[in-house]
Amino acid sequence: MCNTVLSTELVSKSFGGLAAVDNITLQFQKGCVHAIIGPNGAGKTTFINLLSGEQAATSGKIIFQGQDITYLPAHKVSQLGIGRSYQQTNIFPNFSCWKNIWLAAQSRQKSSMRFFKPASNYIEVSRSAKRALDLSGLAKFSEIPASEMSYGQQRQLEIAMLLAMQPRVLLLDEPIAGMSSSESIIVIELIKRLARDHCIVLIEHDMDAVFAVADILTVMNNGRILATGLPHEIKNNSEVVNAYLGEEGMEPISG
Amino acid sequence: MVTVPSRNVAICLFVILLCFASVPLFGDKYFVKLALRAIIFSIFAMSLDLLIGYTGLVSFGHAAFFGLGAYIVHLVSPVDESLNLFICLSLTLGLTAVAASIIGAFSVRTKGVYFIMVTLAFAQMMFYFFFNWPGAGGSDGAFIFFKPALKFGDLTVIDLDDGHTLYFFSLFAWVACYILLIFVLRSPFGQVIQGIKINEHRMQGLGYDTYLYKLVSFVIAGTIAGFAGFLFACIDGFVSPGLLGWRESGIAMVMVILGGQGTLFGALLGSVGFHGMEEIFREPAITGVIAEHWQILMGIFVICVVLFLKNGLSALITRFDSKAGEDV
Repeated sequence: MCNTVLSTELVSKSFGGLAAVDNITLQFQKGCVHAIIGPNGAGKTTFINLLSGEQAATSGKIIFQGQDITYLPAHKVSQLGIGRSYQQTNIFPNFSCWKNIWLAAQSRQKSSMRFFKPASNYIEVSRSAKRALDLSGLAKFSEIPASEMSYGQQRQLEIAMLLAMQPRVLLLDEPIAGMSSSESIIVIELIKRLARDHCIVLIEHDMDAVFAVADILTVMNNGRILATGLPHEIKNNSEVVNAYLGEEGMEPISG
Repeated sequence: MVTVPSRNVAICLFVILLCFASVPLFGDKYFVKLALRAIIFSIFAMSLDLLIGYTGLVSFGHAAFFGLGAYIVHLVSPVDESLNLFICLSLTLGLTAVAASIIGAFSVRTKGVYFIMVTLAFAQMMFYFFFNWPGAGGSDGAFIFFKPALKFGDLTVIDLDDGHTLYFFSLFAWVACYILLIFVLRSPFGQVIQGIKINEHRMQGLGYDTYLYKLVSFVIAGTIAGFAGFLFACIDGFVSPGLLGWRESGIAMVMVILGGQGTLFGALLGSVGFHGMEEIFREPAITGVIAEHWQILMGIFVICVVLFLKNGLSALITRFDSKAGEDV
């Protein structure tokens, strides 16, 4: 049903003797939410860092739409259409909410090496930033400095910036961690809506959220893939339950 | 982030510039020269503010471009006649831009304290090059016998040998550089460098090749510093290796911090404050026996400004701004 946009072939990342990511082969499809779950230290974030170009793989290959992007620097990966949000809030605290989104939108211009026309006169950037602002539900906070927004709002801002980049692939690293339940509902609905025409890779610890949005699940442990499958297959996989789901408590999952 | 001057800042700047413009009418020769030095150093410091205050690059070797600009005037001026102003200025700006591209290409790769060290090392290399090169006067420095001028046949339009012409030319240059930098900071490019200052890692994630933007910012700043050097060389028609040394880099940095980084116009306040205070502290009639050791008083002054004003002397003006007018 889905066509593969992004894939990895035996990708590994070692720090000294430790293999943080160990021979991961995965395909990510357009129109799907592919969730990666696993205990802390399983290598999920490192794996995302490899996909986004922020860290270079030790071995293996990453292919995006037929192009080898394994060793491209982060800014080039981003320009190709792979955008990410961060586990640790990563914004411009001194700038207003609007300007944060604006910078993200401006990155989609052919070049920002333009020196005379004021940035605010670029109507297409304005329009794209406005769209991202509205989609993320932050419209009424647009003039507030990002540092004065609540933690949950800052997380929403991360996603708004991601949207303004108009990526084809969204790498979401714990997008709803620390959000209030009303904020996380907005984001989960947004992820569902975006999933229709985007490829989404989601790392999340909140199992309710994961099972609410994921089309495919991969469970990682110690840098390796433990299992990949449809949500109901993962729920009933005894190995996964022992390694990971079990410790989170069976209640929310079996319910 | 104050980019476009608020109404208060614009009024203050206008008054300060009017005062500067009236100096040649009332002041004696010494005072005119002092004011001229303050203007030229303000251009130099303003270019450094683009790096420190807006791009987050703390350069400790910015005098390399200031001194180079001055030396280029000496090197390209013939000994028996004055060189065309436009040719001389183009050569100065062009060559300092080339030097800034080369030095920037290496130093912008580094960050934080390493960037400070690399820029300092490049500037000291340039210092010793001119210090030891007999062709440019070596450690004694060198004279510029005929300063650049703009002439059409017998008609002299601009002659920088004339003190008042140089004075108003420099004042005009300050306004031009200030307006130019405001345009640059409002542009998409300006937004990118300001983003880099706050969170470079995030800018890369957004898809900006931050190395390139930092390099271009470094080249713009270096070229403007070279322009300031060009003007400085015309004051006395004398250049010396000290212009490239780390003392000058340090003075520019003190002016930026004294005036308030990330404000542009703060460089003017910093330069005026620095030169003005130096004159006051050195005057035995005012400071008595300490006059000989005026640097001690200057140190106390700088420390007080940094401790008690949130963003240097510029805070004296911007504290009256409404908050809404600040973000542009």
